[in-house]
Amino acid sequence: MESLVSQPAVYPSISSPWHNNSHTSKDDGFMHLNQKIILPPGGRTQPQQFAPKQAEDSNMKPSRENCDRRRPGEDDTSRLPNISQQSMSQSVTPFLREHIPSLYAPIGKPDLPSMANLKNKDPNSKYCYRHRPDSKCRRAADESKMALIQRDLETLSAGDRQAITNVWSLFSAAPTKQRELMLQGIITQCCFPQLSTVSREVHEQLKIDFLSALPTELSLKILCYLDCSSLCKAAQVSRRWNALSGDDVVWHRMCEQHIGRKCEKCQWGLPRLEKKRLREWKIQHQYALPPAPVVVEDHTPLVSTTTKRIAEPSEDEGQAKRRCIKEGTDRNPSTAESGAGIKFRPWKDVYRDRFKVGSNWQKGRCTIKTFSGHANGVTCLQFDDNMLATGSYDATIKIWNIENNEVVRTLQGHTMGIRALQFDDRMLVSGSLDGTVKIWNWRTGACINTLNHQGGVITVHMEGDFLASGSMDRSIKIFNFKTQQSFTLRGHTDWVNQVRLDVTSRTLLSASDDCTVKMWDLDSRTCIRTYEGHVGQVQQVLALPDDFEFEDENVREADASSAASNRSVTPVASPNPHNSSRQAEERAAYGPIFLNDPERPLPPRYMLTGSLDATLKLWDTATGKSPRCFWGHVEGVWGLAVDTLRYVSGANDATVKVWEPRTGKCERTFTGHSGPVTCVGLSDSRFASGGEDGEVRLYSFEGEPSECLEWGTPS
Amino acid sequence: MADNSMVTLMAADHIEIQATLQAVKQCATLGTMLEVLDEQQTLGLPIPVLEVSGEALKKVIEWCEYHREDMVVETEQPGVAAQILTSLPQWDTEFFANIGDKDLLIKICNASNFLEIPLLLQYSIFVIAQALRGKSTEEMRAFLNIENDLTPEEEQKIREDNAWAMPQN
Repeated sequence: MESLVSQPAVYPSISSPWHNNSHTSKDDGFMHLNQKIILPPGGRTQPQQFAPKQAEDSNMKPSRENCDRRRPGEDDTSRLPNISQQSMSQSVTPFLREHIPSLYAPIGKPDLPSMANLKNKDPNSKYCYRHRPDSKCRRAADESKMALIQRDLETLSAGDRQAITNVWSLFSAAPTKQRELMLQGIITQCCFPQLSTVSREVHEQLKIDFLSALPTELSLKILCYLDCSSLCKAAQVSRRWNALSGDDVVWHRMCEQHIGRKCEKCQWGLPRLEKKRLREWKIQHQYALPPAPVVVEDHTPLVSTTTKRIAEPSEDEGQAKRRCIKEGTDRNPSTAESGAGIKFRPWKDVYRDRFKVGSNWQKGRCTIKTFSGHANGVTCLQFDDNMLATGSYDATIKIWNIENNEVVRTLQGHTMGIRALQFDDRMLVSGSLDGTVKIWNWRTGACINTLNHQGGVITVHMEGDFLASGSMDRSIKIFNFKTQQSFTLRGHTDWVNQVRLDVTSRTLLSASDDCTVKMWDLDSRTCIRTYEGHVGQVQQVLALPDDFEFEDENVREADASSAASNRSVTPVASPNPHNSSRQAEERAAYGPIFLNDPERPLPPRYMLTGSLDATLKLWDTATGKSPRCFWGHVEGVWGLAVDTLRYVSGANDATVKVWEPRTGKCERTFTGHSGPVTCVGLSDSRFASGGEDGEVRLYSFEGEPSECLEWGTPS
Repeated sequence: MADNSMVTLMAADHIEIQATLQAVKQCATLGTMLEVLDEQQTLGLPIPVLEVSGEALKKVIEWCEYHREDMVVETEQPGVAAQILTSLPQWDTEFFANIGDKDLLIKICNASNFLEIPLLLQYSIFVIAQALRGKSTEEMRAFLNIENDLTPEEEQKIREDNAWAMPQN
């Protein structure tokens, strides 16, 4: 005992496991034991005075007899069975020598057979996760834990210290299999309070940073299952987490799930914002690359700008998935053509831009611009990124620059109030109560053509080569730009308030003061179907986007529960075998015209109508039923606009309402007009309303959240 | 060879595990190996899976036995957006609940990746991700015992860069 006290070196010391300095060769077979073991020098050579107590009579099996509760009277300090020098040299030392030859076998005479033996025995020569030298995850926690253990240890007598250290040394020297045996033996001997300690400690120490433990590709897959907010919190955890959680793979997936659609998981959808970028890009490249490329309008989300790059036609399809915008082109066109460093915009940034707009919509944070200048009520409007066109009862059409609120041009020629207009890159068409449709070159202000109705024109719509118009004379006229021919559809018994062409299926939808909506076949020029249900004049009809799926809440919940109880929800990639018959059924619903022509694309499945009975209705065009009615306006609905994420309606009650398509709930109500709202327009990040008060209000949701005020009343 | 015939797998620590052939075929790696090898010559020999620990392999095989009737899912096809998983079937929920310890969970995740069992991989990844969802940065660090190696300046910058996604905004 005295000799131990006099030598500080014998103090058992536990060093941090990452100090892998005692045995570092990669093939020594137990790198997972890289805990530095410092045995008292006497452990091997010096005589020890520990009196053998229990060790002698124990039969080497873990015993339950040594539970401290059974021997309450025993002296604390002599509790531990001391290990005699004999037993040390007989069991401990050879064990250590065998398993840590570099430390316990002199270098001069390496214990070759046992080393070779060891190599064969333990194929696991890799570092374990916990003791990898580069692993940082546990360092801080282990350090403080070690300090605690050391402190507790120093309160014990030297003999106990020695004994405990010997146990630890044996354990650290042991290969995996032996270690597990030791543990099992120790655990069998534990009383419940000790088991409870084990359980608590294990729980605490089995915290594994999976991003370090797993290969990168699996880590990224895990991150793909996180939501946006969790990902951004994960970015702040550590350097590695920051890099992984910001990875393009993860955010591309997020963008796929959310942009231009509502995520099935979180019901959160984000705007596309593509057109504006496309336009900016186009403008820059038109200046830069003569001749100007012919650009086809593209509504596909996330399909990039690169597909339209005339300059690099050989760009492959894989690249097309990426948004290939040179950083800085947004702001600085002059440097855009350097061509040297094409930088990819990180998908996280793409997501962030859209997220800001999305949450602005949700919270009603926007900036408002008003456009006033018409001498009478505004009846119709349309806008794009920088241009707004409005028509008014004052018989003029005004083109506005959205940036500076100024009138760029006033189109004059109609003799009575304007009721409808539509523009595209080529032209602007307008319908007026004077009974004419005029086609304008809006860039010059020149009227190119005039078409006549028998009564005032209330609605116009052009798509592809066709121009449709509806009139107070109860008829619909279709004009073909290519053939310069026109024909008339008759069937409504009152004014035709709205017409919508669907060139793909060669059909047209019309809404009328006779309270009905009709679907027409443009080939046979006949009415396919009449939809009855509104009790007021129908002012608006719009086909919903193809990806719209009506989901009945009841059906949906039933589906979800049946899927959950299913034994296995193996994703089925193959098309549903019933699809073809279902499709035939749907086809038959549109009548013999579609049934007899299996190649003909079907009309839009769902449409939305707005009526002076103060409701919006969702219709299934195949069944003719209206599965949903939107209540909320207190007076008739005049204007309607839709996209995949929301519906916007304007009504005689001077309000504009924004609706959630899936649930049919009104999200927010905007006031501000001093008279009925006659028309509305909608884009990814803005909406506009025109009123009989002669004003147009443009609500923009693009700004930084901190710079916008909240408008409108949430419902 | 009938599908209910048994094969022996040998894991890293030389632990032998019996499994039905049908279950083993859930692992694309082993399924391919068995197809390539001559059945007559390899019949009865243990299949070495030395990359996977015995403990993890046992759980993997347990899962495969339960799912042996299932159609083997093709590995992710490009273009088809991966299915959005919102919950696990009941049996699998219990299977993962019984695993409890994270080391084994991570081993199973690794093993299913190595053995190519797409559904088990997807499930284990989902289970790991579920544990993280909704936690704050500090909670994540504490939960996995991760040392914050960011300097205060870096941390401040990352916090600002990610402020847009925080709920109060």
